[in-house]
Amino acid sequence: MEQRGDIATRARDGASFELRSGQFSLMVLAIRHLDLLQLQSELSDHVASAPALLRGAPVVLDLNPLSQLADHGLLRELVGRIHQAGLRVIAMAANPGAEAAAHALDLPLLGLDRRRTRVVDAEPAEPVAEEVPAADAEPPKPPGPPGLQPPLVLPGPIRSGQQVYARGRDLIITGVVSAGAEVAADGCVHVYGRLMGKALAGASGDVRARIYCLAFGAEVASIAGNFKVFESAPRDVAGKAVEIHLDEGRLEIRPLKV
Amino acid sequence: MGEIIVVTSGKGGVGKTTTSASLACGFAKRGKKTVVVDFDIGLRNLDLIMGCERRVVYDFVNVINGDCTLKQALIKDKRFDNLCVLAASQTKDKDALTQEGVAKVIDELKAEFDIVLADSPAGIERGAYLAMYFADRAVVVVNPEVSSVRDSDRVLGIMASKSRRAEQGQGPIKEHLLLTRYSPERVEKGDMMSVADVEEILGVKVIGVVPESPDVLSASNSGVPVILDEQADAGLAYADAVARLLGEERPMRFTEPKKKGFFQRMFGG
Ligand SMILES: Nc1ncnc2c1ncn2[C@@H]1O[C@H](COP(=O)(O)OP(=O)(O)OP(=O)(O)O)[C@@H](O)[C@H]1O
Ligand SMILES: [Mg+2]
Repeated sequence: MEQRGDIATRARDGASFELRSGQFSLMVLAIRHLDLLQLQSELSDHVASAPALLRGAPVVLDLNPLSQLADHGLLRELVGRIHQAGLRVIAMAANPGAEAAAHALDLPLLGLDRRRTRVVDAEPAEPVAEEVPAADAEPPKPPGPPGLQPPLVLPGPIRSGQQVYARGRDLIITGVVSAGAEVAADGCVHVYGRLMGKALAGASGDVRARIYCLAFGAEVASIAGNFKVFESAPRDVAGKAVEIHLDEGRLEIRPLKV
Repeated sequence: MGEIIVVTSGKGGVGKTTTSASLACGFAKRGKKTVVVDFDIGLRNLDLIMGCERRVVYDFVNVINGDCTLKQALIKDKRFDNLCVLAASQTKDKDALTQEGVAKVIDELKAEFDIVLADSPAGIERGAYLAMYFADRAVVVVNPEVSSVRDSDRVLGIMASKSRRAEQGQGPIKEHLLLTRYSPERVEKGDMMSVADVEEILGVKVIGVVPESPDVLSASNSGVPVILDEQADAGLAYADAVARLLGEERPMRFTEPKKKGFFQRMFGG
């Protein structure tokens, strides 16, 4: 989602603060059913599947109309469980009728524009990349069309235990992603090699992001938080070049005809 | 200036020490002035496999702490006068190896020897990290099974991102895979990964394939590295690996199941 503050007020010169408008992209945690135990366990697993990206990440809570009606004790417990699972609720999505719940939880309401989910320059609170090949350093921005972020291009192999995150752009790996490695991008993830590890596209919520690889064998694939864990690759796509996209919130994997 | 070669693996018990001892003798035999250093602080195994355990007076940590000179701690091999061993300390202090201390010893050895072999402990903790940090080349010992391959992948990843070479802009550590405890018969039956499988998963070519062999254990028990046993397939495989590490081309041996003789086929066995 995109949150944009209007340039509010200008503090007088020499003031101890400056109030600016900032743009941040945030993940939205939409609650489908309010089953606290199920939610905590599934969410913990999900966080554990991509700790570099998710642990401690701020999220905006998106309660569906039914959940908003839950009693306030339950809502507080919900926020507590989300916290225990490793995410931090920092605001609530301003759905119709959400005011009471937001008030009860003492959370600000953020407008959620459902038509546009373009992700803007994201600046997550924590550094995410660990043991990333040296190339992860931000390259100087070459001149190009305004607003177009160059992709992060890394040679493979990305090995077990390594994590790569392309913030606010696509990620291109020219090689193998090993089992136990994790590659994530706010945009699309392209793997020109075997994908055996975890791949997360649309990491900040862009549902249009996609994952491509030359040979599919991923442990986990996720787009905008919709993920699938593969004990083993489905027969029809195992080892094949595939495209993974979201179809009405469902992760679809289909062989690329090449 | 000598070259530092680390023998590492991630997973324990895959054959690092066996390999270090054999490569050390192999390089010495080929005329290289060689030293082999045991980084497995607390355990100390290499001196046993090299057959010099009774002559250990000072060790690696003693040198770092300044209890003795490097010269005093180096144990000369009885078979090759261009081969030395630096034993590990049996201290339980895991922090006995300091980065500066190791750097100083390694650089002194590098000035003195053609080849400095570092026998890494298992895991990815301090000892293992320091063993690989200074390396110019790495021999990653891997067994043909899933967990060993996964650990090797992890180690290769760490090596690619953290090494003195990389930090000093000298390019990455050169990687070699050494497949040990290989059993062509089991590969053929489909219950062991093949050379090709391992190469494909790790994306690195193997520099040698050492077959599973009882000769290795008997060699270790007698303190004579298996490479010195010219009757043993495992020894010949290590000699090939040494030649390849020195840049020679050798065809792979011991990767196909042994052809059984006529009588064996008739009567089993
Ligand atoms: N090719 C081989 N065939 C049969 N046995 C082998 C072979 N290579 C190694 N071994 C046996 O495997 C065991 C472990 O070997 P070794 O001590 O060299 O491994 P290591 O990787 O150094 O272990 P650690 O991680 O504990 O340091 C020993 O008993 C050794 O004899
Ligand atoms: Mg050992």
